[in-house]
Amino acid sequence: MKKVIIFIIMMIFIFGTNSYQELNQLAIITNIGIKEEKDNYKIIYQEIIPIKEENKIKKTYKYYENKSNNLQDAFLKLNEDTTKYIYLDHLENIIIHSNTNKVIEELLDYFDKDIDNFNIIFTNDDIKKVLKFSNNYKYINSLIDDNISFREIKKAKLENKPSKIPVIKLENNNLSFYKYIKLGDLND
Amino acid sequence: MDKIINKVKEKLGPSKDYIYKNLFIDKTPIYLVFSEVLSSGNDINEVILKRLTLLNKKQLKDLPNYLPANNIKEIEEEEITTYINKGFLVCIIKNKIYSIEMRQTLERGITTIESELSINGPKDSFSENFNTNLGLIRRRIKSDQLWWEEVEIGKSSKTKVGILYMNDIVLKDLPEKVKERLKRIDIDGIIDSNYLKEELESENNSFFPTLISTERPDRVSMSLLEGKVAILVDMSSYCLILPNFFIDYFHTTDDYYQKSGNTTFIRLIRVIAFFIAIFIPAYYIAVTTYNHDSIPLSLLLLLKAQRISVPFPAVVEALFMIVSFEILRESDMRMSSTTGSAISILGGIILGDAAVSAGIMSPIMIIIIALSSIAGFVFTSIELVSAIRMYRIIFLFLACILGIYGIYLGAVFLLYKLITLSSFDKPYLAPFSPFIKTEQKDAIVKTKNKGIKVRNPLLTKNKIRGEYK
Repeated sequence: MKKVIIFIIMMIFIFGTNSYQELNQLAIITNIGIKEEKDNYKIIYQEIIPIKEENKIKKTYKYYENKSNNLQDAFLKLNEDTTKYIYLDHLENIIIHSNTNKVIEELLDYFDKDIDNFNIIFTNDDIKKVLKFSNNYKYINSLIDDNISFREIKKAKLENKPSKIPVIKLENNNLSFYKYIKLGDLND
Repeated sequence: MDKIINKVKEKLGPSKDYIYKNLFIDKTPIYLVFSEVLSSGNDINEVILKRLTLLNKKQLKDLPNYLPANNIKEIEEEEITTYINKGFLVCIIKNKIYSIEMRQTLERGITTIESELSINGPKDSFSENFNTNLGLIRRRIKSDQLWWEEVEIGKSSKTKVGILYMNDIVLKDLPEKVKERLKRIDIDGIIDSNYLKEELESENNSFFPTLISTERPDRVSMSLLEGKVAILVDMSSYCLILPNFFIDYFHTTDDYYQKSGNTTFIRLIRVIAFFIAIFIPAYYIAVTTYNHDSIPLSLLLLLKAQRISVPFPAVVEALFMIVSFEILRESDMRMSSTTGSAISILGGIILGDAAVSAGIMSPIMIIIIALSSIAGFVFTSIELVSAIRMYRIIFLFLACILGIYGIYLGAVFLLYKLITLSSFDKPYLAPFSPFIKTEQKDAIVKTKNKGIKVRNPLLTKNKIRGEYK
């Protein structure tokens, strides 16, 4: 028994409990909007907050915004905005407003291999307005026939193949699928 | 003769329940000594005194042949007090000392079973009388091969302990080993059969039990026929069975009174319940504190919504629930059934409802702990229930420190413990490790009795149970 206790104590020292996060402390992020401005990146995080009502769970949303000339920096700064732990494992979409694929390049640097199961969507309209549509669970994804995940883009990048990315547009308060664009085409 | 009586009086002290009676029968002085509380006064009056007074001098010299008592024998001077304390009537005629069995029945008779209920099995249970208990087994197994050996344990209590076995089935060395172990016990008194557990389980240093203590004579009979050894203790309503395998705790006597398909289903449920009882609280803690990504988003949101107002960490919440449940169980168990129901209502309302509406408990946690506790009570062996409870808490802490990885480490440790455990040199995890093909028919899956033709090869060399034609 002594050995077991020593083993457990060693485990605590070796692995620590640093990834310990209570559910209340999690800011579950489901959508991220990135807008490329002149020299800046504007990032909007959409946190999903479930609230228990009588017999159902009501979902409310909270938005965090940040600006920086560097995408990494902007992501890090967001951690300062909230005491909660920014939790990205259940991230669903990253909606990008950009004309270049510089954003994608930077995203490839930022996200490690643990989190890559989210979709990349382009838009040319107001990011925040588009994000509001995603309040309806998986609404944005349902508009697109062929959602492209970040993992696929990564794979295509490694194999030097072009990948197509869906673009959505906002018209008269109505969100709809517009077209697919090739990632390579964005360079111009 | 007076010398003997004085010695006896000196030994027995001032206790008033010992009766010393001086008689003259056919001019021969006779002393009768017995205990008022242990011997039956009626029997002594009716049988002995009425017959004894009619005997003549010559007949008195050959007392055993003239008295209508089934157990009468000549004893030594030193044994007098022992026999008196066993409920015998001691008769001293000149220099000869006879003991005549005149025991009073101090028992409650054969009552219905209380702890290991069965739906369509027999309802009789062991009582505190050794002979009654032995009789209940002998009535079920009328073979002359049902042997038993007596061992006396306890310097003061001098308790009769019987080792029962089927001579033609049991491995020859097993009863001897048990006897040796029992003789090692040096204690002043054995009050119940459970006193013997510690010595009989001395090689077992885990929480899991390797002994079964049962109230059911049918279970003991079944085990004897498998080649196991049963230990009956005088004044104890629980009989010990050994050796046991882990899978034996998943079996009940009812399994053999039902259709085999239903039994298999119930046994699977028991196995599932075992895992739920140990792992569910730990898994919940791991999922809500470390491995949030291992559950779908919708479930995660549901869990989060439940916990949003709870001020404690999930582990504290779980421990609070486990501890309060154990307190509730303990108080419910010790109380009589009339006050017991009040406790269950109070506990149910306070723990179930008020704690949730006050916002200090999340309803999901109550579900988890209740499910885990109820699953633990599927088993009739109270030792197994306690073992499950200990491992539940160990796993809870492991999950709290290392998440699902901790549970995995704990599971490896648990498996290691189970594999290295042995019950009287028989591997505890048999028939899975070592794998015994013939035993698979009555381990988790139960085939029809027709199919189970052989006994466990670890327990007997006389394997064939019976052949159907």
